[in-house]
Amino acid sequence: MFKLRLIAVHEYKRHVLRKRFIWALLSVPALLALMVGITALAVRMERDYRPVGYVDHSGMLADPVMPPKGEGAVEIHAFPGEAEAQKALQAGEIQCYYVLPADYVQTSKVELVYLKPPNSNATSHFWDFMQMNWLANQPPEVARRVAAMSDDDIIVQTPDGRREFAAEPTLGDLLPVIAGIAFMTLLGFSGGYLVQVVSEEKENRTMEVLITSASAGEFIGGKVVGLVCVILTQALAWLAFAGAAIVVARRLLQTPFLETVRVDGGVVLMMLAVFVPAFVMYSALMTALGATVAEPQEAQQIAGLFILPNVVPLWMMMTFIQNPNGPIAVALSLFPLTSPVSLTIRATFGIVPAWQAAVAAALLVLSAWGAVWLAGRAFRLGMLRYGKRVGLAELFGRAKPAAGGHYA
Amino acid sequence: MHTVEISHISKAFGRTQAVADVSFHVERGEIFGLLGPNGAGKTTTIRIMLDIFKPDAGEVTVLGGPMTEEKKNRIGYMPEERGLYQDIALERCLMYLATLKGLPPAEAHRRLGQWLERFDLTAHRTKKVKELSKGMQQKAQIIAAVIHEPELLIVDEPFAALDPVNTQMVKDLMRELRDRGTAIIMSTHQMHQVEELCDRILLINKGRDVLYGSLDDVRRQHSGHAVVVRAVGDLPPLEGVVSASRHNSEVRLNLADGVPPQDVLKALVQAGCALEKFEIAVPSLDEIFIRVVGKGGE
Repeated sequence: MFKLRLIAVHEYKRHVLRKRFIWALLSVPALLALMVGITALAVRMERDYRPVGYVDHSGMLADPVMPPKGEGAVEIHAFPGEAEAQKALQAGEIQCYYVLPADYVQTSKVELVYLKPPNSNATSHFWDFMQMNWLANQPPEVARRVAAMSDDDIIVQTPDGRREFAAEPTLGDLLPVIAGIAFMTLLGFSGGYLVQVVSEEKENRTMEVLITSASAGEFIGGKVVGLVCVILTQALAWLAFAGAAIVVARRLLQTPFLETVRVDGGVVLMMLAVFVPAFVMYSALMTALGATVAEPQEAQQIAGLFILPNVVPLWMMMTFIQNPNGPIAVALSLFPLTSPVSLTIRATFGIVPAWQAAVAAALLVLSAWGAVWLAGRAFRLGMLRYGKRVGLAELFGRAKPAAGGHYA
Repeated sequence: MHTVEISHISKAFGRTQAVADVSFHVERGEIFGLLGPNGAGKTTTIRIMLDIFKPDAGEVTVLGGPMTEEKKNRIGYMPEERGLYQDIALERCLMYLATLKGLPPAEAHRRLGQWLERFDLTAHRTKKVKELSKGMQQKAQIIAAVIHEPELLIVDEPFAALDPVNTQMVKDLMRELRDRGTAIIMSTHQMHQVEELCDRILLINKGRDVLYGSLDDVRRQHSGHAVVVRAVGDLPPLEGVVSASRHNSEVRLNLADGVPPQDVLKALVQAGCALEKFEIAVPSLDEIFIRVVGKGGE
């Protein structure tokens, strides 16, 4: 155990202290900051905070009620006649003005006058103002309910009410699928690294020194534990950066997309139950690959194939959305190489039955164990075959292992 | 009890018979030369000894029994090629390898400081291994093999990239370790180093042991019936000398069967020849190597 820990710590430090890792770690917050910054800048540049005017011939707004001034609000000025409003418009004092004709209450028709199309925040604020005045004579609770309603307020809910999806989904709704994509990205970064390291150790003979200092089990175990810790570090760092980005973006953008970031505890539990054994399984497979192939470049190329199964559920996203509990979705959720991403997509659009999550997690644990076994065997067969790869038949066949004998 | 005992081991990889039949033992406090041409089976023998490979047949006993994980801490190994992490600092790399051999970090740090000083590497401790010269990397590799004070040290081509000063330093180290009781197995192609350092040797050819014993015995076995003479002026005609050949200032005299070298010496003295050198001709290890391996290859 002592040597396993030593190898794990060494592997962890060797990875996280590399420039490549630090760049990968910082690339996500940099990208997030760039996205938030550009969006905020675009919103600010697009918005026009000049007042909006109106001319009321209907008398409905004789004693107007003004809406509260929130983000993006503009002042609303009343003009006695269209000439005054036109003059203010020409002078640039207002960005547009509305004319409510005498029969407005009967027809609900208004005229909008502008030189350049007004900004959406201004028109939106004016219609809030109109809505408030339409409801001014209603009981307060009715006014509040009507005011809160919009065309987008259709929410689809699962029968048990645990999951719901609005026409305009929020970040909270999409979190599981985002976690699935993050899982895949992490595997891409870290798995590629591990396969590179092992194949380099094989190529430059470091492996020969290591195996005369520790057992194959300690060697493989240390590498897998080290890599899982690296992945967790990266995941936690990205999570922290994403959290900070959400807080900043909420203040800057005022978008409903970021308003609700609620996460279902059951979904989090499911993700942990499948992600951890999946990381172990992939790490062991990468170690096996690194020990088996002839050259590091070849290992890098083949490593990409291992990540490919994770992309399959994303290709089949529409099938998942249309039928989250259909045979394809269930099959991909239970198949170890595709289950992490499949389950997160399904959890985004519906409820994954607990038994399926449990079976998927159990299969992943078994697969992780099998992958570690395979890695041990590949390591023994392939570690000292410089410039040669180990064939599949040999890997799964009855070839005698080089050392230890526990895996024979 | 021998530190290492190898008995009739064999190992094949597919159709290639890497080792066919090799037996030898290594004593505590000796430097043992493991020799042979390229592809003879030396490295496979070493890997079998270290339990990296299991032999197809034969027995291996290391430090009094079969190889165990615990024994790995009592063995030092320096493979022929570098075997060091290239992209980390020298000190970090050696600390890692030392602690993997069971040394507590504080002790490993203390010993590493001494070794770096001894091998003139202190100034380079924070440099990445790949930034060091080949010779420096080789010295670092030697440190990694000896820092935990092993009872058995196996070194493959220890002088390959070293300059004469560092070669001498490593030779001194090996003698020092031998005197402290360490059993050292050295695999090399540099026969003059073997002649200088080794107590006993094993020559492997085509996976089989073809020459085994103490260096003196081996040379005596292969010495011809000849003497080497250096004298002022020409040598007189001598009875019992079949042929003579000159190499620079020395003459090799091949003697007829039954003619003792002492008779030739007596005849030279009686003839008033001013002798500067007279010795029994023994072949160099290089000559023995070529003779044995060449004969085996025919």
